[in-house]
Amino acid sequence: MKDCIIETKNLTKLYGTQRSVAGVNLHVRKGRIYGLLGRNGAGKTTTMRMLLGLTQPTAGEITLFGRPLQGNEKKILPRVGSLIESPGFYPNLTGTENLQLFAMLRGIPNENAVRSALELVGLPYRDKKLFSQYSLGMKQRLAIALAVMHEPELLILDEPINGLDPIGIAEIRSFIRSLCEERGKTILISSHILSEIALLADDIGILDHGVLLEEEPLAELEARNGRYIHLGVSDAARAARLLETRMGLTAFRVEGDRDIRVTDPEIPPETLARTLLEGGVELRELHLCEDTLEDYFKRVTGGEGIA
Amino acid sequence: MLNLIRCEFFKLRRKSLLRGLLGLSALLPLLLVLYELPNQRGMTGLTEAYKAGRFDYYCQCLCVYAFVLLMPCLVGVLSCFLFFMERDNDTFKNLRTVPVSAGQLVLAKVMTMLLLELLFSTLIFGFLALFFSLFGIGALTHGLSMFLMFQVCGLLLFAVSLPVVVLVVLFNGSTLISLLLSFFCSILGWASILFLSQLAAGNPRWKLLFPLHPTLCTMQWSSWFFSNLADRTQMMQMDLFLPGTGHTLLLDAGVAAVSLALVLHYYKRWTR
Ligand SMILES: Nc1ncnc2c1ncn2[C@@H]1O[C@H](COP(=O)(O)OP(=O)(O)O)[C@@H](O)[C@H]1O
Ligand SMILES: [Mg+2]
Repeated sequence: MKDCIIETKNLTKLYGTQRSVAGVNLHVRKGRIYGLLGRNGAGKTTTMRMLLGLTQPTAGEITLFGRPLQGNEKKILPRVGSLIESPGFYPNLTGTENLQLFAMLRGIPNENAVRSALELVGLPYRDKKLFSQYSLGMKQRLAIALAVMHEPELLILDEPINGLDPIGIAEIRSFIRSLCEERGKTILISSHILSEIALLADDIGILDHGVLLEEEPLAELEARNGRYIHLGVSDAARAARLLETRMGLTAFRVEGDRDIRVTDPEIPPETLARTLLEGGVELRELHLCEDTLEDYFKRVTGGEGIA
Repeated sequence: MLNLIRCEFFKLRRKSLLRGLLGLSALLPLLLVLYELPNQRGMTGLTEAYKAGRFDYYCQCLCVYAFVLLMPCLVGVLSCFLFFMERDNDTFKNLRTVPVSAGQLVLAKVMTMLLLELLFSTLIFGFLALFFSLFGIGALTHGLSMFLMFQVCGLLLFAVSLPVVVLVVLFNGSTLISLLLSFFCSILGWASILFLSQLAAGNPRWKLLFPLHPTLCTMQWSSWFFSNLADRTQMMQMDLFLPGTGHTLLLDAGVAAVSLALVLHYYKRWTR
């Protein structure tokens, strides 16, 4: 794809013999929020560390802004802002001093960058409080401020809402949205919280045991997987035969003895009902159902759900 | 690089390091004053030359002997402060994504240590000069060359003490363990000099090892280099081991270079 800011080919990381990331092909498009969803230990952090050159991949290629990362770190990394796992700052400095330090390293001359970054995340400027005295939520906010301070085009945020209270989560969510919508930034965000990704992301990637199971726009995913017709019948096997022979329908699944899921929601329900009744199958119920993202997640990962 | 060094100093804010250095550098000269004062009590009509001699003598003591013991400890303490900061606070990731490489970081940290060492030797010299002139027990006739000696000795012994940083980074332990380690190195440095001298006294063939001992060479060279003509004649008569300037500088630079390479090698392993 042409407009991919992040593209990986067969990205793989082995720790010993354990495959933490296995053959991931990631495509993050310009100006969009990409949500990387996965349980704890799925390999989200490892993937992001590799994207930032913090960990060397065992195999595979990483392309950022259309260039290979390897060898171009000095040109690419200044265009990226990142937050990886827990916030890491110097405890003997205040929040402002910590940001000033990194502004100095990044060669950002004006003090305004620090001030506005702090204002954006809702932390006081030139506060006397040391980083070691910060609460977890404040630390997380400072880390977000650090990630956006140098006006990067691409943000890589690893579980950025960890440790925030519900109001803080909502604030940061709308802040991230505005970064994307108003300032045109591309954002890769990871979370183990499905609802968070559902609220925030434009595109979604599902990572499980190091494997990228699905990758597609959230809207498409919802449209395709979201709605189905549930049929409660007296004899599912017979009903299935009727649907196949009389209607030529294949977009359905038998679920147990008495239930059928028709995955094409556009089929008129009256046709379904007539076909079954004429074939002598009793129809107990007929619903138009909406699959939740969680059901979907369960299905693709083939396991239990996610919070 | 200057920017990185500036940042290293910035990171030391609110740490008691500078205060500690100041205290330590005042303490040593004060002890020497307390030692010398009773010696001179009751003596009257002391010449300037005598006073200058006393000051020079104590400068030599501090520079050559005290520094040999102190420098590994100082280097150990400084490397604990500087090298453990990123590890303990998980800030590697923020630095490496700036991007700052491990090599740049190591170099900045060692340069910062060097600057702090130069500050330390300047402070010690300053306090010694201050106290000796306040109490009237010394004269700064050769002040400038003595100051130079402090800087040169400090620098060389700092270079020779860099293997301590290698150990600190290699063992990657707690601050306490690292401090004990550097203390041990300092004792070992002294002990090896004494031991080698003992051996050489028994069998002169051991003297062949003298030119290979960096601390010993630095000590002997600087006491020769910074002594006046009369002392030099005396030293020649005593048939002391006196390594050349080039030899000493080369040996010390070699130790420093190898240490830096090893520090970088082991430090990179941490940051994976
Ligand atoms: N430095 C490491 N050494 C060994 N194993 C690691 C290391 N980092 C991560 N792992 C393993 O890789 C897997 C993925 O971890 P991670 O990327 O942190 O998952 P996530 O961020 O999705 O929770 C886990 O099984 C973890 O134990
Ligand atoms: Mg993680």
